[in-house]
Formats: sequence, structure tokens, C-alpha cells
Amino acid sequence: MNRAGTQALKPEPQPAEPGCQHPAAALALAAALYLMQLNRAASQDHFDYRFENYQEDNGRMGVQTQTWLFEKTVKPWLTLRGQVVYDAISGNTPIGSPPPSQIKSPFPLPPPLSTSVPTAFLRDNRWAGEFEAALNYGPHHLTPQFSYSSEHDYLSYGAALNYSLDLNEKNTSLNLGWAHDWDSILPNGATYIFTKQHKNTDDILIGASQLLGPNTVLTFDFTFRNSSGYLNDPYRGVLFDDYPQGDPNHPSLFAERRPDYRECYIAYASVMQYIKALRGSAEGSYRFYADTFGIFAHTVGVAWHQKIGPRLVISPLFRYYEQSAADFYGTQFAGDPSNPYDTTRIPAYYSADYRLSHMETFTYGAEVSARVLSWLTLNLGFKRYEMMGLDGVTSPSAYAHASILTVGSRVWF
Amino acid sequence: MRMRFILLLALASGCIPMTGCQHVKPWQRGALADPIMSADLDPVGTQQAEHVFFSREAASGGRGVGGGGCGCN
Repeated sequence: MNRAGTQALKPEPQPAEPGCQHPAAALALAAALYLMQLNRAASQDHFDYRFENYQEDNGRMGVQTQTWLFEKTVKPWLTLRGQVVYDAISGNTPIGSPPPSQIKSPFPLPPPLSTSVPTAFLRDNRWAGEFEAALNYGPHHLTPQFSYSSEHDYLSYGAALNYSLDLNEKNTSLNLGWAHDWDSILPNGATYIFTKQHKNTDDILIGASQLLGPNTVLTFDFTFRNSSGYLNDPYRGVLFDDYPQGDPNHPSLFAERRPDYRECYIAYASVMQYIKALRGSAEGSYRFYADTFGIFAHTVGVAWHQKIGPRLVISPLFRYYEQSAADFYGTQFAGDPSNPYDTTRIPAYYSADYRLSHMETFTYGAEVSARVLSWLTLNLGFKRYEMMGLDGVTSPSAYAHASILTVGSRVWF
Repeated sequence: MRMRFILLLALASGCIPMTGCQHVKPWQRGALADPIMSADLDPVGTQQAEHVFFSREAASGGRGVGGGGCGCN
């Protein structure tokens, strides 16, 4: 799910107060005029293109994403923004079984047994579009948005409404948001479903941005989300101990089973600090996440934006993420759901999706942005994404390690 | 009890911006107007990064709402 960025306080300069008779008024007027110029440069209409190559190591998933975005202020009270995204997805993904060498079985398994989690090859394309109109009326900003996403196994329609209110001479901004997604999961030969399934998701956001001083912005958002319907991964299977395995290197699995309702509580805070002496800004953020699957997660991000000369900005970043496991996560489960005479109790919910395990991820890298011409900005970035299990049970081979290369441009018009 | 704690935490954190900050006048916003202070400096880059995290991690969201769903998670 793509998530649009929080609307931050607009750093719009305002004209100096009329009637100021002392020398500070002249300075203020000069500063305001200068800032208005800066603001005009920052709010020009633009067209963005960005290519991202996400490639996991060892032949795992690869995704090539192309995004086209435009933003145009049609009237002072109306700004239109639209984007189109194309994803080309292919590669191997874990199917839900532990490595054959680690399968617990009442029957002896014949060697040789692989020590890596079994995977299946997947290929898909995704087209997605998003359109929004930002309506401004004094301190009120209302932004309706519509979105669409289509894959051969997934279809999503979304609507959202964001509202923000400037208060206190734009020192404070209150933000409210609502979004709803109508999703359909479509069957194919590789899924565990045979008929179309549905999922509905609502997001409600309340937040605020506050200037803490002339160099500091604090943002805080709280989001409540509930999802209902088919919440399983249709490709992910689960291995049961008592079910006989013919070839453990190609294990027989059962469809995973997750609850059909999920509530999420997300608190997000970020601080941006300008450091004049270094001609740079620091950005720090923290996110707390909890849901009714039993997952608690913490995310910490830091970034530095360094200006070099009049045209270049270098931005190194680091992000750390840690989550606990879902209540119903396991690498394999006791019993045999297909055998009515098996007395072992089958749990109500079960999943072996490694993304629900106790794990941590690290992201680090840098991006360079250069305004090579007055109407053209180019950027280039590279990041590494490392996932690591923390439960001591899930095989390290389940977790992905990826390189992410991005190349982009922005044309101002 | 756990949910009550989370809601209280959220409420308390929401009050932080309302206290202990300096009132910034319009002519004091030179640094804030610098593009490197914009939370929306690179919207496409932010979205693409968030999409990677959304596809690989159980937690997602927090920075805003909207954008629609996809089958990556």
C-alpha cells in the first residue's frame, strides 16, 4: 500500500506586518521578499520521473518500478497532482515451508535435504494510478484523492480525504485524514484460493505539525486502521508435522489461515532541524506500531541533507525496524488438518510467512540530488536493505537482503 | 489495558507540539523555506521506499493516509 506523505507546515513566508516604523521592518520586508522568491522556486509546477531497481540477493525477488508524477497549481486555490506507477515483479519467494533439512516429521526423511527454505518463481506486473486535487481556502486545505491498482491477482480501488487547518500564524497545523480501500484478491493456478476474495481497509489519521522555533519542525500523527475480509497471503502455505511428505524438497503445504479482522494503532513522530552553520538539515523519526495480530513494531529513521554549493544536495540515511511475531506465526505446526482421526489439536490461526516473524531490518544508503539546470533536477541513490530473524527458529535463508538503486529527474515548468 | 495505554501515549504525545515552543514570525522562516526542510522534498522517492518496507514488514503506515492498496503484502 502506498501511503502519501503527511502534509507538513507550509514554510510560506508572509509579508511583513504593515505599519512597522523601525529599522527591523525594513529587514523583515527584505527577508520576506527573499523568502517569497525561495518559496516560488520551491512550489513551481513539476513533472517527476523515477526508476527504482529493487533486487534481492541470491535470485530472490526483483522489482523494477517506474513512477511518473505531475503537480500543477491551476489556480491559487487549486493544485492538481497525479501519478502513474508501473512495477515489473519477478523472482523467487519463500512458499512457507522451513528448509527440508529442518522439517520435523514422525517419519524419517530421505537425504539429501536442502538447507534453504523452498521457493517458488513468481512473475507479475502492476499498474497503479493516483489523482488528487488540493483545495485551499484561507487556512483550510482539503485534498480528496482517488487511487487504483491492478495486478493479475489483485485489484484495488481507494478513496481518501485529507484536511489540514493552519493555526497560530501557521505555527501549528492540524491534520485529519480518512482513507478506504476496496481490494479484491483474484485466484490463479498458484494460489490457495479458487474464487475471488475481498478485503476492506479503513485508515483514520489525526495529527499536528508545530514549529518549535525558526529552525525546527515537529510532526506527530496517530493512525487507526482496521482491515476486514481475506487477510491471508494467497501464495503462502503452512507445513503440518503429521502430514506425510513424499518429497521433502518439494513439501506439501496447506493454505495459511489468519484472522479475518485486524486493527492497527500507529503513532508517528518526526523532527526536522535546520543547522545553518553546516548548511544542512537533520531529520529524525520514530514510529510505534501495534495490531491485533499481536505484532508490536518500532521504527527509527535518521537522515541528513547536506547542501554542497548552490546546486547539490547529498542525503545519507539510516533506518532501523524491529517487530515482534504475530501470535499465530510458526515455522511448522502440529497435527494434520486433512486427517479427521488425527487427535492433535489444530490451532485456529496459523501462518509461516516469515514477514510475520520476530525480526529486524536495517536500511542504509545515500541519495544525491543536483539541480543541473534551472528547470531540471537529477537524482541518484543507492540503498541496502537487510532483514534478519530474531527468533532463533526461522531459517536465515528466509530473510531477504536487497540492493536498491534509484535514478530520477524532476522537470520544473 | 494495552490499548488504553497506547491511546494515552498517543494523546500525550499529541500535546507535545502545543507546549514549550517559540512563536515563529513570518520573517523568521528563512530556514523553514529551504527545500531541504520540506517533508515532501521527494514524494516519489518516499513512496517507493515506503512500498519496499510495506512489502517486507508487518507494520506499515503512520506518515499519512491514502494511496490505495496492492497485493505486495
